[in-house]
Parts: sequence; C-alpha cells; structure tokens
Amino acid sequence: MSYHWSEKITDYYYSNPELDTVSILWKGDDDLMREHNIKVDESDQQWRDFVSEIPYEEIDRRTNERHEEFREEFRVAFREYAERGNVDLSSNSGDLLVDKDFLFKFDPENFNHKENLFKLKLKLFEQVIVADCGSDIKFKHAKTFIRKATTPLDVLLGYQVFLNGADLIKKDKEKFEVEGIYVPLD
Amino acid sequence: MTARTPVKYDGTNIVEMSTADILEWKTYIAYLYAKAPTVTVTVVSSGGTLTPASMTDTRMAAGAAAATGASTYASEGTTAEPTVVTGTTYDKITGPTYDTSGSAASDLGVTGYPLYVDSNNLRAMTQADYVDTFIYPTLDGMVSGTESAATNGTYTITTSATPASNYTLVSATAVFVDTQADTSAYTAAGIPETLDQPTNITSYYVHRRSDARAWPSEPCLFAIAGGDIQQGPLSADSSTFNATLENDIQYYAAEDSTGKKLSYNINGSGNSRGTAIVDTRLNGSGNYQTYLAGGDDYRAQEFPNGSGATINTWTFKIEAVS
Repeated sequence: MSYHWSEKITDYYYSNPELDTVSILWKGDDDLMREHNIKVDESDQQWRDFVSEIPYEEIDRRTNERHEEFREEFRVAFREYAERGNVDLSSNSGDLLVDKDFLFKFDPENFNHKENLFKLKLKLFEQVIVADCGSDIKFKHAKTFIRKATTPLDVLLGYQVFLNGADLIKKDKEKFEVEGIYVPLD
Repeated sequence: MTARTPVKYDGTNIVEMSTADILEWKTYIAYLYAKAPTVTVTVVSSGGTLTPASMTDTRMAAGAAAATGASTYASEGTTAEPTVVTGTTYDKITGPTYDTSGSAASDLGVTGYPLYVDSNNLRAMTQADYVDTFIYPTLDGMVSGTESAATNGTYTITTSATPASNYTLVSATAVFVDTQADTSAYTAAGIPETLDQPTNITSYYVHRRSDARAWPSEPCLFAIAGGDIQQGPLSADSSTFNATLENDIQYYAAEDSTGKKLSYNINGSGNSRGTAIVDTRLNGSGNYQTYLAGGDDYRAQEFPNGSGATINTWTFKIEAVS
C-alpha cells in the first residue's frame, strides 16, 4: 500500500454530518501538515486500505473526541459570554435534543436537524451493544447503513440490527445498497 | 488467449519468473507508457470536460448588520443570520483525451515473444499471449487505487503545488480552491462588517506519476533460429521487443476495446486517485456581536462561526473501460 498519507497520518475524522467523507491530516517529509480527503466507499481501494490502517471504530472515536473538543470550546466561550451578559445557563448545548419535528418532519436542510442526526449517530455508536458488537460482517454493514442514513428513522432502523436481531436486505451483493430491513417481531 | 508465466535463466536452470520478477516487468512497461502517455488529463482555464458542472466553492458570509436607532441592540433572533455565498465554479479539468493515432504492433512471430513452460516444453508466446501476459496486466496495475511505479503516467490530485518525489505537477493552476469565511476578519467594532470576507483553505492540483526507468532484473528468454535460446533484451532500448512493448502499452491504453482502456472521471466508478476535493463551510449557527457606535447607534451583526464541515465531495477516479 502506498499513498501520500501512508504511515504519516496524524489525525482523521468524519468531516460532515452525513459521515460520508473523512479528512486525514498527514505530515510530509517537508514537515508540513497536509489534508487529504477520502469519500467513504467500500468499493474503493483507497478507502479499504485506509480503514485497514485506521478502523471504523477509531474514526468514530476520534470524530467524537474532536466534536467534544469543539463543544467544550463552545461551552467555555458561551460561559464567558453568559458571565459578561448575566445570562442564565440552564441547558446543555452538547446534548442530543430530539423533538417530534426531528423525528417526523425531518428537514435535511435544517442545521439543527442535521446536527442532531449526527449526534444521534454518534450516540448509537457509543452504545455498548454497538461498540462491542465484534467483527461480524452483518454488524459492519449495519454500521455502514447507519453512517449513510439520511433520516433519524433510518438510523434507528439500522440500530435494530444490534438491538433486535434485525437483518439488512441488500439489493446487490457486490455493491452496498440496502433494499430494506427485516425486523423480527418476537 | 492466456496469460503465461515467462521463464528466466537463474544461472543454473531455466525457471519460471516469480511474481516479483513479473511485477518488475509491469513496472518497466508502465514506465514505457509514461514516456508518452496516450490518455491525458489537462488543466484548462475554463470549460473543462471532466469537471462536473456543480463543482462550486461555497462559504458562509455574515448576516446583514442591524441598527435599531433606539437605546437597545437588535436581538439575536431579529438580526440576520449568516448566509451561504456561492463562489467560483471550477471547471478546469479536461479529459480523458485519447491519442488514437497509434496502432497495435505487428506480430513478431515465434522468435519475437518470450518463452514459457508448456508441460515439459518451452514454447514461445503467441502475440495474444504476449498481450495477455505483459500489456493487460500492466494496464490492470495502472488503474489500481494504490499509487506506485506501476501506475506511472497516470494522474492524481493533491493539495500541494509542490510535486512529491516521482510526480510531476501538471499545472500550477489549482483545479479547485476551497474557501471559508475568515472569522478573524470580522470584529464587533467593524459592524457593519463587509458580509463576505473569505480566506483560502485548501487548493487542489493535478499531478502525474513520473517514475524514472527501472530495468527488470530478470531478462526474458527467446527462441532464436536454429532452435537455440537466448536471454532477451534488458538494457537494450533499441530492441524490437522493447519497441513493441512501448508501442503496445501506449496503443492499448488508449484504444483497447476489451475493457482495458484507461479512463478518468469524477464521482463515477473506479478507484479514487489522491485526495477527494471538498467544499467546506463553517457550520456554526452565527456569532452574534454588538457594538455601541455612540449615542443611540446600537449595532448588531451575526458573523460566520464554527468549524469547517464538508458540504460536497468530488473524487477523481481512474478506471478501465471498453
């Protein structure tokens, strides 16, 4: 495997709420830090080589960590602002806030909805049942399905694979294209 | 038509080449291709055929400033939110352009192609065997996502105008420049700030792999008239076999009709080459700032804030086509 970033990676994270693009920071021989982006695509050799070096779980962990850093910066800035302006702090901006619109009238253009979708995905990946699911291909595909999900209901459907033994029904064995999800009722 | 395993002389016996030996040949043939690539990608000032029409840079700009004139600031809720600015559309990559002026080399006959082991006999490859053994596997290697000397002459995208070793910069013109709002340029004392104050985040460039020649360490064996065997050309650029390899790799790369022709696309099928190009925007919900300019001049404005999030991703890909 030979890429500009091979064995030179210093950081990596999903760079959008859809979790379909990963930014890699790598340091060249000239000591300059450079950015490299890879689209999440399991049919692409570069992506497969990247996740063989940095597993999905690590990308999730580092993304979460980075978001927490940003949230903390935001909290500090907001606290300072609040202290200056005598504002009452009563809610935690880093939490996942779910309302009925988010669930039933999800708007992919709505910033808060997109942010909450991202938080929902991260929250699910933090669950023990997901984090410790092992390397079964069924769970790997379910994680990919959740990553690619564009609505909260789809995210929750993907979660059923871990929670209730549901199965993804794929359209095509070669490509990752999900037709539906079978959820047992018992 | 079958790929054969060429034989070599190991100093004692005639033996089949190893996988590593064959890789050296493929790498050498890729070098012959890279001497004059017949499938090219170029950078143009505009109207590039490869770049999708939607490849546009966007960024956030400040919302319009609000001045109440009363002894209070416009609230955060009534101050205009930051807006999306659509910047430059980049249509600077053209290709793939095929040089179809060549033709396949003529059949060199039984003494022209390397020998292989057929049961217990040595047999000369046919022209079709030779194409399946040397040309097509080289083309297969050239569309690999992993870049190496075996992908010599093919293109990639990086975020640096300085080529890495074994690469040549195709053009100093960036094929995409990702911008974001320059948050340091917005200050409360500057309200009303200029709405759009961008800064360049990342520029993307096209490079071509351009490794120097590396001779295969093991020569092929050829039949010669009279039934003898000789070690084939190794460092003889002028040999017929070398010239045939160079001609054919360039011909088949551009004109093969069996699915081995090189091609490039953006967001299509194939293997990604280099970094994906991304358009990013700051993802904050607005940095509300106020400024008392004097008297009853209460001003407020929302500046772009947050961290850069990817809005669009374009992946440059290489593939083999008919």
